[in-house]
Amino acid sequence: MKKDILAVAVLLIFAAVFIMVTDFQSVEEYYNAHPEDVKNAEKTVTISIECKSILKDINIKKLDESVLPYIPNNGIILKKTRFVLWDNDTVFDVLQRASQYKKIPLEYQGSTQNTFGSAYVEGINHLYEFSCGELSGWSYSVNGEFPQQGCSSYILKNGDNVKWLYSCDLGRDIGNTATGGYNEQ
Amino acid sequence: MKRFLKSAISLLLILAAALCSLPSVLGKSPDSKIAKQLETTYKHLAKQNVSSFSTSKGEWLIMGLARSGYSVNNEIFNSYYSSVVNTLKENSGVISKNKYTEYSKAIIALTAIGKNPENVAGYNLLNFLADYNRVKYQGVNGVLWALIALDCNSYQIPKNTDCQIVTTRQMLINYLLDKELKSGGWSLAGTSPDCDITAMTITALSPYYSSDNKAKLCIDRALSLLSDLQSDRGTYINTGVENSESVAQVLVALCSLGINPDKDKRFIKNGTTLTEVLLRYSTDEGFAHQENGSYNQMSTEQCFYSMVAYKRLCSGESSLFDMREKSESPKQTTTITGTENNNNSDSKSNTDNKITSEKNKKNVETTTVANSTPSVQSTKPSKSKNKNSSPSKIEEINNSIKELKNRKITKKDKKKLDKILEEYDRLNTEDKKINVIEETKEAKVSADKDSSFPTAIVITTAFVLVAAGAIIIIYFQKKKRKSKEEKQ
Repeated sequence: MKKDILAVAVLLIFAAVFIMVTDFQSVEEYYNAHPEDVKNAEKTVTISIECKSILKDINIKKLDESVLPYIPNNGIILKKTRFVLWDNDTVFDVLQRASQYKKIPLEYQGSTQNTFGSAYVEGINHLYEFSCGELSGWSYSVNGEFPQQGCSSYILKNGDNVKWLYSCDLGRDIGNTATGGYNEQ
Repeated sequence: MKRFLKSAISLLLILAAALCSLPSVLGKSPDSKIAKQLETTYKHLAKQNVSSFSTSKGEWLIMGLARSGYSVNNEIFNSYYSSVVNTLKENSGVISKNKYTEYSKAIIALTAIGKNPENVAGYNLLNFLADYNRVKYQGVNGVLWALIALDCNSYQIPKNTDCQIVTTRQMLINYLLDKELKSGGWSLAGTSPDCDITAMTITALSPYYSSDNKAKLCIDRALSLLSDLQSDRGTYINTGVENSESVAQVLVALCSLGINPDKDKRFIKNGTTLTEVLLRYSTDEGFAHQENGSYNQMSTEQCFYSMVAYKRLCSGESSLFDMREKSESPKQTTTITGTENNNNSDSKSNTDNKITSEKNKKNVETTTVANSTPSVQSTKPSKSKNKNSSPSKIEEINNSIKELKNRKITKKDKKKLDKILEEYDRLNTEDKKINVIEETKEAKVSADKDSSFPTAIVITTAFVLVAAGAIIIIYFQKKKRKSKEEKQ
């Protein structure tokens, strides 16, 4: 009898230790802490953040000196990374999640803080609009196309590829010809 | 016979008189349609949430309302002013590091509401415009708005600044004249003109039309270009799209030169005037970006102030951006008319001037609405919360941190900490001087590792253990009974 009770007690202790040591999480909690763990995720997207245009000779001399320490040598601030996609995630949601997880400084105006009605990304990794000349700033593309809408109003689909690109020529150097500045016919 | 002739003539005269007055009795003239839309839009804008106005939102709305001549609840202007003061205080006088158009915009809006941009919370915003290199950081757009801001009240450019090159008005003018494209007009980049940039540059150079011959020629070429760029429907295209903002900017440009857009043949295409084109974009409460589009805040603010510019021209008031104390209506420049009546805005402003006096000497005239526009409407006080100034974001964060600081951080606080750090991330770099933020981050890490898990899990675990224990005990008891039975 004593042996039995001992066996039960040991089992119970094992069980208790097991429960205390294991971090029980819901699926959502898990993915929030590990947005990059896409093995079993239903939907995913990729995102990359680049400022390669700055590295060109004609542009590097226009660069605001104080920003120089933040430019990676290869111009890649975030290489193409796959993240979990939640329902109704916008381009902005994914950018925010990625930058928080990868500890990339992101500055933005919320959609209620400006007249555009959409979040406005002011700076990524200390690079802002006009940090590299009068025609410089951030744009985003989805699957190679540049949507003409605010990043917090564009809802992503499974498999989309998002690129945040820094332009030094009003979009022309990154393939975005619709920014209006040029109007070449 | 004579009698007959007499009565016939008088009858004819009466008929003629009746026919002349018919148009105003029948369908609405464009003027009255504009007046109606002006009032509708004003009503909608005047009741927007006052607490949201700042240097990043609503400045054009503020400026438009202030210049409209309608009586506006001062709370709107006071709320905006407080937010500017707060922004400057929290950021050591900085509104934006790269975009000096933010300073130009603030100077214009502050002047419009009768405040002095030379002394806002102790800061002189004109100091920023004195830095020529920074002003032209944004190219043509930066320069043209700096010029408009300086001229809106003949501001003096501060000389005692420590910037490399100190701005002068002539430098700004020369920059703009230099950047004129071969085709005439201006653009942000490239060789093809942009109608919005061209229109805004005209507006900026308009005060120099009579005094600077080079500017005059540039403007004339640009006007000719704008006439050419106008489509057969009277519309303007930007980024490949016919839109309302471009029309608005052209309207403002023409009015700033004293040209009535609806009477200048160059801007009437197939019988359609510019104001008629503008109205095509109207919605119930304001304006859309494109025809048949839905209400758009940015479009509404720009179209609103363009209607204000037009109204001011018609009633002989000073132009939209001319906020000097005793300014006159702009001297009419070239107008190519197709009709007889010349709306001669050379006439001195004869509207009633109610000058609101402020502490400083920079006054703003609030004129009563005259002529074709409806009489002044008094607004009901808006139902906004009566607060002095909304707590700054930093204060909020600091308060939340203080709250948590005084007790042990547990896993429950994880969500709160997440929220605080999220809010912190949203601040711009200047704001991130909150020293305790490092402590907060550490607190979050420890909350994550916290071993005191919530009671729910404890209870569940207890139940599971008890159940498991019970099952095991019963099993062993059965086993014992069996062996007992076997023994017997």
